[in-house]
Amino acid sequence: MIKKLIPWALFLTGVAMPMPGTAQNGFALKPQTLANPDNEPAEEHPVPSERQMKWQETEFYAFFHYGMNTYTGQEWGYGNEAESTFAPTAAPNPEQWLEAAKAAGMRGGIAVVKHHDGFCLWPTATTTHNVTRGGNDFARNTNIPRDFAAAAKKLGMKYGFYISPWDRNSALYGTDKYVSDVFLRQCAELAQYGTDQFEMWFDGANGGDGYYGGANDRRSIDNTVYYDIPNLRDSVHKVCPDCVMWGVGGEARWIGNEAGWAGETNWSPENRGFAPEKNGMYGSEDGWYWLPGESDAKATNKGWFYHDGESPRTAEQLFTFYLETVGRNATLILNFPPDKSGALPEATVNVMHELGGLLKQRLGRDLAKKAKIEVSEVRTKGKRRSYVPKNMNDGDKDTYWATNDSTRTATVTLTWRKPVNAHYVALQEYIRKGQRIRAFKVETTADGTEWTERAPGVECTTVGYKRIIPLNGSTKEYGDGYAIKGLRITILDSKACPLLHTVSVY
Amino acid sequence: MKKKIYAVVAVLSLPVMAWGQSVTFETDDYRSIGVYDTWEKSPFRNGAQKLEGNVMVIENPFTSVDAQIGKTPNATGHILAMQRSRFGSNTFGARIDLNTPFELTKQTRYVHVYIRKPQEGQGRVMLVGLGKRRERAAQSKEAEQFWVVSTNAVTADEWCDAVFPIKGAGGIDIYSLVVVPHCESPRGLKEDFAVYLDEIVVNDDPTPRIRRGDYVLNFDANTVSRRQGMKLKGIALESVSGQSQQWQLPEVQASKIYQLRQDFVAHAQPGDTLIPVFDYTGKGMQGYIYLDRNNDGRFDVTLNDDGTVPGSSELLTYTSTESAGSGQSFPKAPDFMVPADLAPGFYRMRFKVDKQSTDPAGNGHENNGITSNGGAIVDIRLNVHGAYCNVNDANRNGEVLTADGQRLVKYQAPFGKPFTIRMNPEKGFTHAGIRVRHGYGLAGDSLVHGTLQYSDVIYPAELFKDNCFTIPGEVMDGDVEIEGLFVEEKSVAGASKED
Repeated sequence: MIKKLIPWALFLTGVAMPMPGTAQNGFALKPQTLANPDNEPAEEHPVPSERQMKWQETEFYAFFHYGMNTYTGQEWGYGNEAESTFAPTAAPNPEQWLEAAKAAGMRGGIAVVKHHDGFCLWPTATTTHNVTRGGNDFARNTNIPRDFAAAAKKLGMKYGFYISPWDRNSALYGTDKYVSDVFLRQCAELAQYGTDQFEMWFDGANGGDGYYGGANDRRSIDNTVYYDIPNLRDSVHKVCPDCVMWGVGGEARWIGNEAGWAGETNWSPENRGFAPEKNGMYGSEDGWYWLPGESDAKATNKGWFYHDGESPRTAEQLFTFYLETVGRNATLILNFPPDKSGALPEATVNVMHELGGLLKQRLGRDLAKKAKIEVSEVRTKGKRRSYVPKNMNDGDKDTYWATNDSTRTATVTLTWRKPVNAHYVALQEYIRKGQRIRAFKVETTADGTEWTERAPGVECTTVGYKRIIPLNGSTKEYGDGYAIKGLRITILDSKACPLLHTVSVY
Repeated sequence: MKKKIYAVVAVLSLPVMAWGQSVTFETDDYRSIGVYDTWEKSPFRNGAQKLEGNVMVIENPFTSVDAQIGKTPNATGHILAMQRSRFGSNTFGARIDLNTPFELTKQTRYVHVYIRKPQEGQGRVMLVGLGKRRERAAQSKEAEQFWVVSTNAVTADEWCDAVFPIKGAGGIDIYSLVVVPHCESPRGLKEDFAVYLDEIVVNDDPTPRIRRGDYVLNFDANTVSRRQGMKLKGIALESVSGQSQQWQLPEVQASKIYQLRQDFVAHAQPGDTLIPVFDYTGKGMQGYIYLDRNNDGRFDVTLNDDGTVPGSSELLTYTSTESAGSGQSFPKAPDFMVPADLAPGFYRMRFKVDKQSTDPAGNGHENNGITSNGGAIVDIRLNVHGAYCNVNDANRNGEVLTADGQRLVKYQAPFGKPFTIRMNPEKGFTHAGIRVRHGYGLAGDSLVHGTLQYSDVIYPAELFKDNCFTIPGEVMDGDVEIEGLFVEEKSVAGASKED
């Protein structure tokens, strides 16, 4: 038997240089304090900007893919389509679109006004490839951004526009002149249709083959710099201060799939600029930038644009999308394509109404409002603010319950004098101070003494803006619910003292 | 013939390129200093309560020699000191307004900043650029243009050169730089702390000006290659007579870009001519061979102006043409000579596959760097030896002799050949075997800059016959010291086979 001893030395380390104290070498730390009369918890950075907060509160909104592809049956037009091909059989009706969206429980909508084919649905000065050369009077009188914005305002809904950075029609695409003379000018024109736009959508599909003014070649660009996003954001925000620039725009991220789900663990912080690939569903707990996720999904079965013979998904399927996106700290933009008449098909509208009905029925009556709420700890109150449990069911998103700074775990217990039938519990962190909760569990009691853990198979990890937990563990089966006298949430781990502004039970 | 020096040394004074100025804080080579926070509600910005940042230029108190690199990393007279306030966000930093703006171009450039921060400031460092588009007269010069985390880690309590790759759409002028020394949530900070900055330079070089550690890499040593189909499968050294020393690398799905294989040992004598061979499947790459001739923990690369390698360089050779891809032989590099004046010893040798970069640490450019171009690095040991090994014994209570009874005092045994010894215990003693230490520098550290110099192996008594044992040839690989494990005869019954 042979023994070999191979001693391994430690890696060399540098000699630690002594760190001067707080008042040496000509530089003194200045004592600084901030008054905190309300004993508010410190932010857990990163935190959302004001516009990101407003955007997040939109929660659920519609996507309307309408344009040249509606009349060609394509999903990605090549860019050589004749303008006369765009020929609606009636005046396009964005008000009808948004009425249906409102009935579906949505708070807003995004209209596609230029897709990759480059055809603009408004009379832009930047290119002749627009509606003014459409195939009939309906086409030539179309101005989707104008009419969409007007309809949204009339219906009290939020609105925004999708404009494709990639333009397969433009001869200038791939050159600097495309960005300065076409794309940025188009964005500026769209910004003029309303200073209260809530989102501008920038598709990540970029570069490839196309018509390009007759060149019919392949063009690629470095999409990290080509569109000069920082300066685009700067100029759009001067006109539309609350407009979140989605996707390539860098203020909200793509959730990473088009299947209508976000990760059960879903952090809003992300390492913008160097996030891992395929991380959209999850975010990064240590992300440096607040970059919440938006899930885009198709509500019909053939494509983003209208296709003959398509049919909408069922309301139940869409309700599942809702639970797996809005219910997992993401927003949901659900696509309903208008048909060749420029209106939503009847079948689509019917499903949208059904969906709205489901949302009202299943998530419309908050049982927590009548519950008594007790907690394991209440943060010491301040001069004008307290952090008491009833802040969680007072209907005010600006009040919240919190523990003291050193406490990272806690329980929140809701009880009812008489049993209620519960399917879901929804938690909402006060994300203005950052996202904190890492893990929790949910239990219920039917008799007030014996507790049973619920949500089998569900990863009860992050909460964020909103987390909806199905007590039966299923986002697909509504089930019969549970007759309960009590519901207990135990926060098992949190980055900092947990803050909840609302707890709802449905 | 002039020689370009490309040396991985502790401190470089890099010339300022294209930008036209650097910021040294020695003179008024900046317009103003302050603090900045990207968090709009920061008390240092638009928050309900206001705080003033604490930033000033001071005399540099940190000019001691760094023991690890043997030089003073930053001997300048003045530096910028800032107070990292726990009331700022994770993007709070020192703001330096420039005398002259520089353009943010489509080509990646690198901003270098010397940073020194304490242990409580551990975490990422970030650079934020403030500026505007040239043609937008009305645009504020404070529009945020980029946010970049450094490509290298900044370690505590020592000067580091943080490197930030930056690029933009072009036509953008940067008026201010914000160095965020602690890009982490400040919530856990109990106190503010001081951070020091200096020597801000913009250039085209991704290599940090201060590098510590042995045989540094321009990437994390655990980085896995993401390029399928571009694999380094094996390496070899051939002699002009056709003999080949070959090593195969493991076939794994995701292999590390860097592999330290101290078990791969090449043998050569001073003056030997060797031809390196790369068994590599990718296209468009070149092979490089480095040798740390003076065992100082780094590869000092020099090149002639015409791209040839001078005799003194620690870059021994490289392929001038790029590989053609799978199925084609990797282009042969010119042969190289093992320096004739090299003393016997173990030396670190590096095989590198890379794209257009003689940097032994790997192409560090953001575009097409070694972490994305399919490159690979393998470090092995080169055993430079003579024809014989010096064999000595180190014994008490007996002696170890040659088979024919000669003493082992600077005994010259043929290198690489089996060597038979005989045990000669003193009266009243027997032996439990031998311990053999073999390699070089047997009295010193077994690791020199992380390169293994010698090993110990024990051969227990049961391997001996008639008190004789033949040491395998692979152990006779340099200096050899044999220690007889002599024990009292009466203790043999209880002796353990283990030493």
